[in-house]
Amino acid sequence: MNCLKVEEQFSAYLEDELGYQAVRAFETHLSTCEACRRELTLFRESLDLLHQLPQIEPSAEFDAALQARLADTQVESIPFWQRVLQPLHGQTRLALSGIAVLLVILAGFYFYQKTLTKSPSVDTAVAPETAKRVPLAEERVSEQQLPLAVPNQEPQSIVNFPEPSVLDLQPVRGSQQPQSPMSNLQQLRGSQQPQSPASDMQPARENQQPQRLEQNYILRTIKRTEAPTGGGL
Amino acid sequence: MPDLDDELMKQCQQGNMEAFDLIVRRNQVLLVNFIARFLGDSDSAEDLAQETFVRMFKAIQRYKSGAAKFSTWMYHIASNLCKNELRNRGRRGRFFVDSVTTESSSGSEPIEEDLIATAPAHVSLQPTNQLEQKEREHAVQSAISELPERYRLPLVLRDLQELSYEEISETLTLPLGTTKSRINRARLMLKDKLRSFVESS
Repeated sequence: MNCLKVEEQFSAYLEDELGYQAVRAFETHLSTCEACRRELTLFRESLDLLHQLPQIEPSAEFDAALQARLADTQVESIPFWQRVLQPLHGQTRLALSGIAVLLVILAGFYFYQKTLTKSPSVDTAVAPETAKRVPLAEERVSEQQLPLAVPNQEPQSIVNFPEPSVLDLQPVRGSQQPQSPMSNLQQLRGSQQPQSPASDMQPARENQQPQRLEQNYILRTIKRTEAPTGGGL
Repeated sequence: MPDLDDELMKQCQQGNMEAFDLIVRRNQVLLVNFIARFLGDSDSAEDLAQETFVRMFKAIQRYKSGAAKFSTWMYHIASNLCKNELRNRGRRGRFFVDSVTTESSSGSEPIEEDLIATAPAHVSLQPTNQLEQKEREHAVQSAISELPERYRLPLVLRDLQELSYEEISETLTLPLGTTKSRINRARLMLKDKLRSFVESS
């Protein structure tokens, strides 16, 4: 044990707070270290001086001054919930607090769930507004583009046309159809034939169908014009 | 053994305000001594002791019987007031001179400086014991006042107010080990400050 360790134990040694082994080590060091013996003596004497300090008596005016201050003082009341919780023991209070926190969390979760289930109805409530708004915008556009837009709105045909040949199955690029002689015919058919409900489900076919019709028509026209020429030869 | 102050506080909570007078009478000397020795200023000590009682009076309904000892609660309030006072003094830049002497508060007895100034020139006529006592008290009080606040507070509570380590630990809301080591450290610092006085006497 070194001198610093011994100094750290001065109070514990004088107040009998050291264990047997610690006291033995402490006293062994003291027996061989004169500096520590001197310091311990000084430590004890300074403590004695501290303990000998005389008591200070309050002045005669102390009570009167305090009474005057207390006369202007109100006892603070405590909130109702604190008054209820105060007599409870620590564990009970802790348990009640835990339950309260749990209830708050559950309530929060419940309202969150409720909000989620309500959200679709909120969408439907919003939808009519957008439904009103969108057609208005479309109406404005369609009023201007109606002549051009009509040929593209060819409904799916249910008339039996010959099956398209391999040449007909070329991929169609671009949604814009060139103006062709077929467009008047198609417009006529579209006005006569009811629109199939399936047409909404097959937008790709809807675009391909008028092109096939147009190609078939062209092929038939070519065959018709080629046949007499070939026969003449 | 039930704590009498604790019982008196319970009576206060039930509306018996005379019980508070008893609490004041039982504890005013303790509080004035604690604050005066900690601050080294007996004039401020009375004011702060009264303020401590006022705070206790206000908080009667908040007092939790059995949660902590009454003395711990009282010294906790007083300690906080003392710390605030020291902070305010530091902010005001007030230079503090120790003015604690046992008779100074009564006002009828001369303080140390007055005793020295008015002492008879002839040594045999001096009130030797009284003078020595004043000199010793001044030396010890100066040594206490020179300690850093964090060491001074537990030292005063332990060696002058005679609180247990556990009570001091609760009062200052410090771990028990920290409280013990701070008190030992404070005593070692005090020993160094009083070295010349002890060796000369």
